[in-house]
Amino acid sequence: MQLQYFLLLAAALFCIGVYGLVTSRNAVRVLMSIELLLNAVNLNLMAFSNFLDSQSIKGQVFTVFVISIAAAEAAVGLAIILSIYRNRDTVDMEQFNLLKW
Amino acid sequence: MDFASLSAQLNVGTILPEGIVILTLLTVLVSDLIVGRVSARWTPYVAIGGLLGSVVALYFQWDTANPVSFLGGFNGDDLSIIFRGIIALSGAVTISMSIRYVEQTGTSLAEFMTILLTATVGGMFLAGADELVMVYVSLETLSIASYLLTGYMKRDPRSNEAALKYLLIGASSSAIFLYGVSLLYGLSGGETRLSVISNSILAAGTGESVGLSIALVFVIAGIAFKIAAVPFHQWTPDVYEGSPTPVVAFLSVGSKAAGFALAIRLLVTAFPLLSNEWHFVFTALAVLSMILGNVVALTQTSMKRMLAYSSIAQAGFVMIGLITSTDEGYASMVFYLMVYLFMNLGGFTCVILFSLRTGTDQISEYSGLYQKDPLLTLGLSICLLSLGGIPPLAGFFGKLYLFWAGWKAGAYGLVLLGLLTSVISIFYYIRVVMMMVVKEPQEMSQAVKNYPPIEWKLEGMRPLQVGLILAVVATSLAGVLSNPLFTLANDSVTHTPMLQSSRLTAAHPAIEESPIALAAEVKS
Repeated sequence: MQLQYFLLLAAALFCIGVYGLVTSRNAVRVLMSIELLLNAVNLNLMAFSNFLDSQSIKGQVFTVFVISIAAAEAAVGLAIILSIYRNRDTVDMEQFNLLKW
Repeated sequence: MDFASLSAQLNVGTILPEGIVILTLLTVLVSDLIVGRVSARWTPYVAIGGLLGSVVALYFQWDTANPVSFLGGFNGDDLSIIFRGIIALSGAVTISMSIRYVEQTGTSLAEFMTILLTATVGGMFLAGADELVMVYVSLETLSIASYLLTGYMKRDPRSNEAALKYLLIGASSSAIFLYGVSLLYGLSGGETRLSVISNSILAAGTGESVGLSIALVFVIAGIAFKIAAVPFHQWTPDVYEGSPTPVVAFLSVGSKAAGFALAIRLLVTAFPLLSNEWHFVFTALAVLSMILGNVVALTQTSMKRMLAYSSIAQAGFVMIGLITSTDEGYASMVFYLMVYLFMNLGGFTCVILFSLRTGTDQISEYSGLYQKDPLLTLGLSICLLSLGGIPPLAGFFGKLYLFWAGWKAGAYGLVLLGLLTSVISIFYYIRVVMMMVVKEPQEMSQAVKNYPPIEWKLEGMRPLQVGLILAVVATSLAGVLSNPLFTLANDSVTHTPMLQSSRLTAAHPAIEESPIALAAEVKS
């Protein structure tokens, strides 16, 4: 196996994430797209760590940090979405226009 | 290995200021848990005391012999000390102005302060982070705490909406930043320490690759989001308008200063190979921020939205210092941020005071305020005029130094644009001042007509008053008596090895010394 394949997979995943970010109207879907972006980064880090840095595996350590912070971010994001749902009864991004964009 | 030798090896002492803030945070949280809401009477003062204590600890660490700690993860050099001081001070002033505000909205003050202190700690660590993992973790500590603060008024749909927008844009921009960071890790052949990365890239021969340029672009996207540079500014006006005003004050000073600290450290140490490219990108960002920020601010009707665009424009001015990349350039950046701390926080304190008394922050509602509240009018006028750069206030000297440094380094176009746009900016600052001072009594707005009697006795009003007066005094005197601040800014740059060595090794395009100056140097 070569390093390029992993990087291409990660880049493809990243592009899918960006596409989802741009087109989604549902706030939860936007949050999921962000998760995709972060997982693309994780793949990148793991690939580099295995191929280039197999001694000190800094990339793997980095990945653990990214995963745990992504969890924190998702928790905060869902909490905010929940509170906006209670106030507005919707999670549709196009309905959020109290502040002009 | 015992604890003492371990901590000596890691050089733990460098993060003492952050340790103090973390202890304060825990004290506030635990005393709120044990004593209950009664503790809100004294915990704010504990928090302010802790932050000021951390500034004192920073003062004692000035010029330490060995600033690198945690095996290269954290670098407490003088530049980071200045930035950490700015962030801690902005946290302290923000707490002093938020006591009354949070009490009046009926939410828990202790939780608010805990999250704010977390954001401060994140910002302080970010200012000294010297390793990619550390950069990411501290950046996210700052960001996630800021999202929570933005949505703190959870019954208010506007605050919710601001928080959601900030979270989604912020999280995606930090993911993009992280992708750039992962490329940097790969291109350097598995290095995460910033100081080693550029040499490893050179050794691995990947300096010319497209990958490095992509990494640079992605990293700049993340940084530009934090400092709210156009075209990564879309979140700013919405978040500033929707979130609680003390939070806006912190975001506009503390979070922005942390972003600039990250920008200097990351670009100077990790991207010397792409020096031309990042200077070009930042020139574009600075030009766009100055033009768009100042022009759009002219048309705003809400005070907070106007200050949002004004802060975008101010970030554009500060970027001039980053682009020049000389000692004077960096020093002028630091100096301007110090001055900006006082004048912007002073301005926000006045806005909070006005909205506490009248419940509005439309610019038109300020008309005729001079008749009812001279102190507030005076404070707001001084801070706004200083932001606009009217002599002899502090903002004028800050801008003068920035433009002088830019001019000396040969960035003529940028400086001329800066001068032109600061003339534009004077219009919208003066407009507010005129509205408050010049209007006749019969032209008073409804809000000012129903102005409540001035009452400083209420719970939490004293710290606000003290913060206001300190900020106003500092803004009016820091210009005339600016010598200590100048020296501090200059020393912080000349004592920082990172900036000095980068000037020796990398050729900076912006510095083109004239032949005459060179000849004079040769003669002497």
